[in-house]
Parts: sequence; C-alpha cells; structure tokens
Amino acid sequence: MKFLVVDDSATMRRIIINSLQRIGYDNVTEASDGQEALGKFDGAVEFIITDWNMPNMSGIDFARAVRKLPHGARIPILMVTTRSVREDIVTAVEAGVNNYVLKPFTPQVLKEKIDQVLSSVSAAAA
Amino acid sequence: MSRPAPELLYDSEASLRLVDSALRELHEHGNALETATDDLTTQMGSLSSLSRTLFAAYAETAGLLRRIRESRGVLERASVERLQQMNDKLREVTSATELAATDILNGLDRAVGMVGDLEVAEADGPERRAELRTQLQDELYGVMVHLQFQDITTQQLSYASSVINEMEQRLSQLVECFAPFARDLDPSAARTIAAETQAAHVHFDPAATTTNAAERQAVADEIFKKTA
Repeated sequence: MKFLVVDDSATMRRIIINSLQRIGYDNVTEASDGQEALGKFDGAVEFIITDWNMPNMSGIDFARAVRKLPHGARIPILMVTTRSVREDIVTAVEAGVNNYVLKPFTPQVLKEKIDQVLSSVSAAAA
Repeated sequence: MSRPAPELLYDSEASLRLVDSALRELHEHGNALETATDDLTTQMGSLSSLSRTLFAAYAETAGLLRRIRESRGVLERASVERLQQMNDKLREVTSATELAATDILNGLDRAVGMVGDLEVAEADGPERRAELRTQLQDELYGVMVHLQFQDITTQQLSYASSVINEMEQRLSQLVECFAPFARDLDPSAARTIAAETQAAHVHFDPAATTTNAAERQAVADEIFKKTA
C-alpha cells in the first residue's frame, strides 16, 4: 500500500514515516504542503496522512481538492494535526477526512486510526 | 437800521469761508471714516481666517485624541489578553522542551542499558538477543516519537512571534497619529508587518499544545464516531 505523508515539518514527516515502516508500510512518498502533495497524488497513492496548518495549501484545502478528483473520492485521508477545537474537527469531517489524530500522538493511536480507516473503507467498498 | 453794503459783503464772505472750511473738514473726516471702515473690514476678515484656523486645529486635535483613545482601548482590550496568551505559550514551550528532553534522556539511558544487556546476553541464545533487540528498537523509536514536541513548540513560537508583530503594528499605528510631527517614521512599514503577520497565521495553529493529548483525542474520536 502506497502512503502519501504531507506535513511542513520535516521532523513530523520522519516520525510518521518511521511509524508506518514499523507497522509494515514501507512504500511512502512525502510532501511539505498541500500544493506539492497534489502534484504527487497519482493513481498509485492509496492512503493519505496530512497535517492541517501548512504554507501554500493547507491540509483541509488539500483534502477538499482530493475529494474532487476522480480517483480521490474514496481514498482514505487521515489528518494528523494539533487543531483540537470542536469546530475544526467538524470542518475536517465535512471536508471528507476519514479520521483524526491529534499531535502529539502515541504510536498506538496512529496505528489504531490507520487500521480503523482501512477497515471502514473496505467495509464501505464491500 | 440797515447796515452799509461793504460791511454786509464782508460778513457774507466770512460766512462763506466758514462754510467752505466746515465742508473741507467734513470731507477730511469722511475720508478718515472710509479708511477706518476699510481697516475694520480687513481686521474682521483676518479674525474670520483665524477662527477657521483655530477650528481646523481643534478638529485635528480632537481626531488625534480620538485615535489615541481608540488605540489605547484596543491595546487594553485585545493586546493585554493576547500578551497573556503569548506568555502562557512561551511558558508551555519551556516546560514542553524540558519534559521532552527528560523523556528523551530517560529513553537513551534505558537504551544504553539495553546495549549492555545485549552484550551480556551473548551466551543466552538467539531468542533472548532478538527480544532485547526488539526492546532496544522500541526504546529508540519512543525517543523519536518524543521529538514531536519540536513541531508543536515551533507553532507556539510562531504564535508568540505573530503577537509581537501585531503589537509592533499597533504601536506603529499609534505613532502614525503623530506622523506630521514625526517625519522620520515610516508608517508603511507597519502595514507590511501586518500583512506578513496575517499571511503567516495559516502556517501554524495558535492553540497548538503538547498537553492533554488523550483528552483532546477523545473529543475528536467522539465527533468522528457521531458523524461516521
């Protein structure tokens, strides 16, 4: 499974990529903002992990843009962010984000959310 | 009794001279009066001009005072609260950095101990060594995860920086009120700062925090559960 990790913090990208590798996902591509991520979003990407606050294009705008693409309508999107205000979380739901992880996360929470998203997406597809 | 003709002629001439003299005096007074009237009109014009100048100065001063009062109000209402929030954020940066450094050091201490255990376990067989290796990897991964504080504190520092920029902008606006008296100051600099501050706001979360992660995650889970 190919992951696309989007975060303007290089430290966070490394932590997330390392976490993915530890649970068996080695095929990861990365981008530092939504705009760059849109350029890297091709038919091979099967899971998106994105931050919210980024320059050029935010994670929420990136999620909305992905949902408008023909091959992006059903792709799992997990948002990993510091934004914990209730209204922001609702905005993320409305933008088509599948699940939400708050920073700082524990490896267990990240794995749990990835598993939840994958099982809900496969259940919806079945 | 009638007076002789030469005497009458003399009196008449004298009377005519007196009348002529009176008329000349009247004419002179008339000229003086006309000059005085002109002077008065000029002075009244000057007074009117002075009154206009004073009124304009009053309006300018009143506007200036109003702007100063508004700026003071804004500084009191918004800025004090924002400065307090900034202070809280900076304090949190200090504690988050301290906490992360302690966690990382503890993890590294444990990892160093495990490296020692690995050497000792040479004789314990491959299973024990594999177990210790996994524990060591977990420990080092834990150290890496603690580095998330860097992303969060960067956002907190960005927030503090934006508040300082905003204060600078507000103070520049206040100084702009005195612009005619402070020609060396460049008010356009304040507008540039404001635009930059506004643009930078999208790059960070002003409420970013390292605290209560589990509670905040529970709120997000609840919302996603309801909407799923």
